[in-house]
Amino acid sequence: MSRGGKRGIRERCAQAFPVLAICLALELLAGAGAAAAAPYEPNESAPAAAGPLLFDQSYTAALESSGDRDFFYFYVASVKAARVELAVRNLSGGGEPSDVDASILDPSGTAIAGQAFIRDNETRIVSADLEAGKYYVEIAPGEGFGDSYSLGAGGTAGAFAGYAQIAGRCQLAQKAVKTGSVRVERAKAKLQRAIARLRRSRYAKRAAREKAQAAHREALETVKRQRLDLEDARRSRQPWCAIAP
Amino acid sequence: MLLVTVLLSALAASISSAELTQKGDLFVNFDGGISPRALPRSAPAPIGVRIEGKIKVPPGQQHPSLRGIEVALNRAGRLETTGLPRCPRHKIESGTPAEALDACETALVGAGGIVARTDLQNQQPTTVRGEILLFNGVDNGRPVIFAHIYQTEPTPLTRLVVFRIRRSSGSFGTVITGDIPPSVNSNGYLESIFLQLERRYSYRGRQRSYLSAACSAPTGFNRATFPFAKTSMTFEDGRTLSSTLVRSCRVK
Repeated sequence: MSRGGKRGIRERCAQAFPVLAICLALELLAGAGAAAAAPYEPNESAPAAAGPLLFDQSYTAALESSGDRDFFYFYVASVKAARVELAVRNLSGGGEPSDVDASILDPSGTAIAGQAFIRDNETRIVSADLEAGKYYVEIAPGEGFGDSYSLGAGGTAGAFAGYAQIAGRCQLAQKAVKTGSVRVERAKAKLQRAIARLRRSRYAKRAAREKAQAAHREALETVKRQRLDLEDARRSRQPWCAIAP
Repeated sequence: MLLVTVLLSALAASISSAELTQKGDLFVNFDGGISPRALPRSAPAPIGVRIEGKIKVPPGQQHPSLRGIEVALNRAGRLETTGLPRCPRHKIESGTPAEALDACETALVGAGGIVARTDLQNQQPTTVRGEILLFNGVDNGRPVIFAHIYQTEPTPLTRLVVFRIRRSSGSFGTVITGDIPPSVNSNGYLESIFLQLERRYSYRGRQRSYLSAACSAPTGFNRATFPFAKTSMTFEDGRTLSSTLVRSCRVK
C-alpha cells in the first residue's frame, strides 16, 4: 500500500472514467477497505507496520506497484498458543495476470506461515498456532501488481488481541512482583528477628528455646516460600512485559 | 466507669506505641519495651529489654550517617555482670556470628540486627540486613557491650561497635553509649537498628540475670507506668534526636 489504497483506486479510476462521481462510487463499492486504507500508510516495512489487526475485523488495501509491500502487525495475548487465522482475499483490480502473497512473520521478521499466488477473487486462510507476542503480516504482489485485497482476522481466544490485554497482564505481573518483593522483605525482617531471638534463647528456659527454634524454622520456611512466589511472579512478567507496543 | 476504662485503654495504647521524633527533615522512630511485663512488686526479676530505632528522611533526601547511639535505662532496672564471663575483644573482631559464638558464647548478653541500604556507585541501592550479637566485655577497665555486627551482603563484613556502660544519677540509672565508626556508613546508610538484651546465668549456685527489674506500683495499684528508657541517636551533621519511651508493667 505504498501510495494508499483509496488514493490509488481513485487515480486508476480517473484514468478510465473522467467523471469524478463514478470514481467516488467505485471507491465506495471498493468497500470499507478502500475507505479505511489511507490510515494504514506508510506501512512498507515491519517497523512502519499498521495495526494492530483486531479479532473479527476486516481490512482492505491495495498493492500499487511490483515493489510494494504492505505490513500489518497483530498481537496474540493468550497464555497458551492461540490459533491465528487470517483470511486473505484478493479483491482483484490489478493487471492480468496478478496475484498476492501473504505471510505471517515473527518479531525477528522470519516467515512462520504463508500463502502464495492468491488469485483474483480467491480467499485463502493463513493459519498458525502462535504463542503470545507481536507478529507481522506481510502482503506482497506475487505476479503482476495492482490488486486490492482484504484481510479478515480470526482464530481462537487470544488471537488478534488488543495491546491493552498484554499491557494489563504485564501490569498485573509487575504488581505481583512488587507485592512479592515487599513480602520477601517482610519475611526477611521476621527471619532477622527470629535469628536474634534464637541467639538470645541459648540461655533461656527450655520452653523459650524451643519456641525460638520453632519461630526460626517457620521464618526460614516463610522466606523460602516468599522467594519462590517472587520468582514465580518475576517469571509471570514474561512474555507480557517483553512485548513492545 | 466506662469513661475511665476508655481513658485507660487509650493510655495503654499510647504508651505501647513507638515514638516519632523529628529535627528538620530527619525522623527517628524509637520503640522498645521490656518482657515480661508482669513483675514482682519489690524483688527484681529477670527481664529482657528491646530497643529499636528507625531512621527516615523524606524521599529524595540524603540520609545522614549515624554516629552514636545512647540508651539510658530507668534506674529501677538493674544491670548485673557479676560472675558473667567476659569476651576478649580480639576474639570477635573478625569472623562470622557462628565463629564469634564459638569464641564467646558464654558472654552473650543479647542479639539484634541492622537494616541498611547500600549506596554504591553505578549500582541499584539494595536493602541489606546484618546480624548483631552482643557480648559482655571490658574495655580499658570499664564494662562494655561488644556489638558484633555481621552482614553477608554486598560482601561478608564484620564490624565491632563498643557500647560503654556507665552509671548515672536521676531517673535513668544505667546509660549505654555506642559510637558508630564512619566505616559502618561508608557504602550506604543505616535505616534501622534493633537490640535485645537478655541473659540469664548462674553464678555460685544462684540464678542471675543480666537485666532485672521490679514493678514498683504504688500500694493499692497493680499497674505502674514509668519512663522505661531514654534513647538518643546522634548524626554526622551534629543533630541528636532523643525520645523517652514510657511503658507500663503489671504486678505479678
